[in-house]
This record gives sequence, C-alpha cells and structure tokens, in this order.
Amino acid sequence: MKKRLTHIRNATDKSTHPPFTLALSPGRSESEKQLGAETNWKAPTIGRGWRATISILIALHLLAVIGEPLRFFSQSPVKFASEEARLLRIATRPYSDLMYLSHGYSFFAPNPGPSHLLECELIPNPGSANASGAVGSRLPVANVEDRSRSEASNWRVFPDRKSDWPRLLYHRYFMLSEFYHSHFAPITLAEQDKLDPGTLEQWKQDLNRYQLLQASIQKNLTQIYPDHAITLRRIEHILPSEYQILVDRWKLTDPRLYAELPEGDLPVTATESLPKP
Amino acid sequence: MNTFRNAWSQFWFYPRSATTLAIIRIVTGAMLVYIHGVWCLRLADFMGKHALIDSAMIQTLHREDYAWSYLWYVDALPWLWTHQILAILAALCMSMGLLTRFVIPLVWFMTLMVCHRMTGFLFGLDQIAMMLSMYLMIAPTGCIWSMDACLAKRFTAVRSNSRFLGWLFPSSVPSSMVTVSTRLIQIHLCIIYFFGGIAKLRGEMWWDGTAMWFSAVAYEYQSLDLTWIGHYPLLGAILTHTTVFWETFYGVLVWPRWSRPVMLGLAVAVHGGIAIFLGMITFGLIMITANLSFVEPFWIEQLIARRFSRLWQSKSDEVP
Repeated sequence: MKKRLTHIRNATDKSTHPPFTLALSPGRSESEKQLGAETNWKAPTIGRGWRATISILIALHLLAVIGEPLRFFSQSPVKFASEEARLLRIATRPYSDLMYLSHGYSFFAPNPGPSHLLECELIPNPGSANASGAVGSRLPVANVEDRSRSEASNWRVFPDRKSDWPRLLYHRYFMLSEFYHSHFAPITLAEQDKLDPGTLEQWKQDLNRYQLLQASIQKNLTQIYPDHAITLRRIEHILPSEYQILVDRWKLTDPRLYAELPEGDLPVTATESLPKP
Repeated sequence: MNTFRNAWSQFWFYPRSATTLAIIRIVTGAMLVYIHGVWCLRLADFMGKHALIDSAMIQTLHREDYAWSYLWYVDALPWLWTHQILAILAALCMSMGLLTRFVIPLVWFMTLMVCHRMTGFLFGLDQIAMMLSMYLMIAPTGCIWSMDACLAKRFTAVRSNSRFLGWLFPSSVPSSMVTVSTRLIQIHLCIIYFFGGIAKLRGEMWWDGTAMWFSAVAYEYQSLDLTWIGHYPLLGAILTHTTVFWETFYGVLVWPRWSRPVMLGLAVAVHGGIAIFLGMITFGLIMITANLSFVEPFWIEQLIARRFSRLWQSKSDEVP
C-alpha cells in the first residue's frame, strides 16, 4: 500500500497542478490524516458524509450496470437466467432501463454473422402517375425465380450505400434492417409447437409485434411513394469462405451470397441471438 | 478495515485534475453534435408522424420495460426540429465548455430521450456517448480548456463572493468529483470489455482464428477492402486471438502501470481498425475517447507543457 501511495505522490509532484487547499478537511478521519501526513497523500475535497453517500450510490449504480449483461450471459435454452442474476435484474431494471444502461455489450459475438438487409419492393398501382422512375436498385438475389418480381417495380433497400450518406446515417438504416430481422416471427407455426400453450402464446405476441413493425415501415414508405403497393423482404447476405473469395474469385456482392429469407413455415426454436454493435 | 476504507477513499476520492476529462468532454460534445445532426438529415423518417418506427410501435416495443421518452408523444416536425436544434446547440456548448454545469445534464437528458425514441436504430456509439455524458455530468469538467474557464478568470472577484458563481465556474484545482467521474468511466469500460470478451469466447470462430476473416468480408460493414488478410491466415488468427485476449483481460491488465500502455495501445489499434476498415469511424473514435480515461492528467499536462515550451522556444529562436 505504502509503495503505491508513494508512486501516486511522486506522480502528483510531477504534475503542474496549482497547490490546493483541503476544502472539507474536517470530514477526514484520523487514519486518513495520519496516512496523509505519512505519504503526502492529498485528502478528498468532499466530506466523509458525502463520500459515504456517494460510495453507496456508486455501488448501486455499478450493480445496475452489470445487471443486464449478467442476466443475458447466465441464460440458457431452458432457463431465463440464473437465480441471482434474475433477482439482480429485477431489482435494478427500472433504473437501468430508464437510464439506457440495459445492454448486453457483445460486439461481433458470439461469431461474426451474416448481415440482414431489408428490401422494399414498390409496385406501382395500375394507372398511377408515379408508375415510372427508379427509386433505387434491387439486390442481386440469386433465388430470384422464387419471387414474383414485377419489372415495373421500384426498390428501396435498407441500408443503401449510395443514398444513405454520411456513414452514420447508413449505419442507422443498417441497424434498422437488423432490428427488423431480429423481430421476425413466422406467419405460421409448426403443428408440434402449437401443442405447447406457452410457445403458442409467445408466438402470437411475437407475430403481432412483427406485423406492427411491418405496418409501420410500410406506412412510412407509402407516404414517400404514394400509389405504390409495398412488399418487404428480408435478405440475408451470407459471409463467403476464403476459398470462394481467394480461389473462386467471387466478389463480396456476388448474387450467390444473397438469399431471401422465408416468412413462414418455420419451427419456433429457442436460438441465441446477440445484439449487433 | 481502516486499510480498506483508506484504499477505497483513495481510489474513488483522491483529488485529480480535470485535464483528461476536459478532452473527453470536448470530443464527446462534438460527437453528440454530429449524432444529433445526422438524426436531422431524415428527421421525418426517424421521428415524424409516419416514421419508419412510429410512436405507436415504439410504445409497443417498450411496453414491458421502464424506458420512457417524451418524444413518444411528439411527432410534429416543427417541435422535433426545435428539439434537435436545441440538442445540437447544447452539445456544442458542452464541447466548447460554456455553462457546462447546465448544458452537460441537458445534453445527456435530451440524448437519452432520443435514444428511447430511436430504438431499432441504435448501436454501440449511442451506448458509449450516453455513458460518457452521464459521467461527465458529475465532474466540474468545464474548469479547464473551456469558455467557463475564460469567464472564471475574467470574473474572479465576483466569483469569489458568490457561492453559486463559484459552482457555475469551478476553479481548476484537483477535485474528488473528477476522480469519481473518471473511475466510473474506467470501471464501466472494463465491464463492457469483459462481457464483450466472454461473449466472443462463446463463439467458435474466435477460437479457430477465423473471426477476423469473417469480420473482414462482412460487406455491409466494410469501408476498406480487408480480404487480403485471407492470404495471411497466421496474421488473421493472431489478430483474432489478440482481440479476444485483450478484450477479456482488459479489466485486469489496464490497471497495473507496466501493462497499461500495452492495453491502451491495443485499444487504439482495435478501435482504429474498426474505424478505418469496418466503416464505424464514430464508434471507433468514441471508444478511443473512453479509453483516454486511463491516461493520467499529469501525463497530458506534461506533454502539452513540453510541446508548448518547444513551440515557444522555436518561435523565440526565429526572432532576429
């Protein structure tokens, strides 16, 4: 301890600080005064009562900071979270939610994964004045034969490198497309999943939220592109292997790396998903 | 017990100069100007009546948590523009250090309200900018390199007679609240890296050394071509494992003096790499700024003093 204090004293002596007075020295304890006398340790500028109060607040605040990541990392496919993490999260949630502290803090984890894009097909209504004029280019999706695309359609892709500039704006739209994908719920539920009331109820809630999100995005696009029918599609941009890029010479935008994701007929399974950075 | 109490007191309340926090304030304020400015580019899309995620949807999303924002109930563009212009001006004042005692809490609160409104569009940049502005609120960071400091010098006599003015324009003497603020940034950063590290440890790509490759070929992130790294698999694996090791053990190794420069150097390398190659300049910059909290104020003061004295010397030499 003494060695460490000596180091701090030396560091302070090197500084260009102006000399300062002990603003609230009456708050210092005897041991602190003794320690200060021995080591030239400058005393706190706030009194003992304030320090005790601040110390308690610091401890509570830091508990709130670790509450959400601890809950997140202690969950498993069969359990929401470990008991202590669950209790800590319950106790600190009002504060951490309100203060925007409820984060998992996982960047590019557990693995760097494929990107998810949101492709909006804007199909002009028959006879409308806005039937021509391209809005943007569509994605080069390989499984195009599975889709009923109209040649007269316009396109808006989230995110779009060309139109969404500066980069932070692009990244905002990229987060939206990932958010849209992360809230996906299949339009139909597998028969075996319907047998579990909990799964059925959860699916109904998830689907309702997903459809509200769809409706909200469609409403926005309808305002910008009136007289268009709007279809939203989730496109996955698959990460290529070293062989595909370095040997087969694929480009990162090769159509074979884009795949349209289905909207239904998927079994509801517990999957681990971590937020994007 | 006394030893623990003294150690605790020393760690949290040992007075320190606000030099480091002043730099963090300047950069964070400028970043918040930019963040709010970018929201303004498509304000109707983001917060308007027919926003991509409209008010009804945002309230549905937050139905089960405790987040709240007055912007859930405001969708008229004139009000939203007023809000954003105010936020930009306040952030500008924060960066310039004008009335920091008021403007930093104001910026933090307005940004918090925007964050709760903009769910779905946010990422790490917002988390770190909010964290920094929250902790900067509690320290007298306007006492140095600020317009507050200029005003304090000008009105020294008036300031000494008024307790309020003394609080509003704090002196630059080392303060315990600067230490509290710095320590909170440091510990919060350690928590972020620790959980970031163990999250990566769950993924097999961070173990088999291919994570760097798969990060490099994520086209939506890419701002500079990094696919050449595939020709050097050993380099890719070393970078992958170094990233995981650094992130997981940052919270331990950033404290000792001998390992701190290494950890901070790696932080600059990792976040600089993210900024340059993965198109997240803002995120990279704000993370480097947060790491600055581990740089001792006296070190910065000495560096600046040395630099200025050299400049002064060279200018004097030029005088015939």
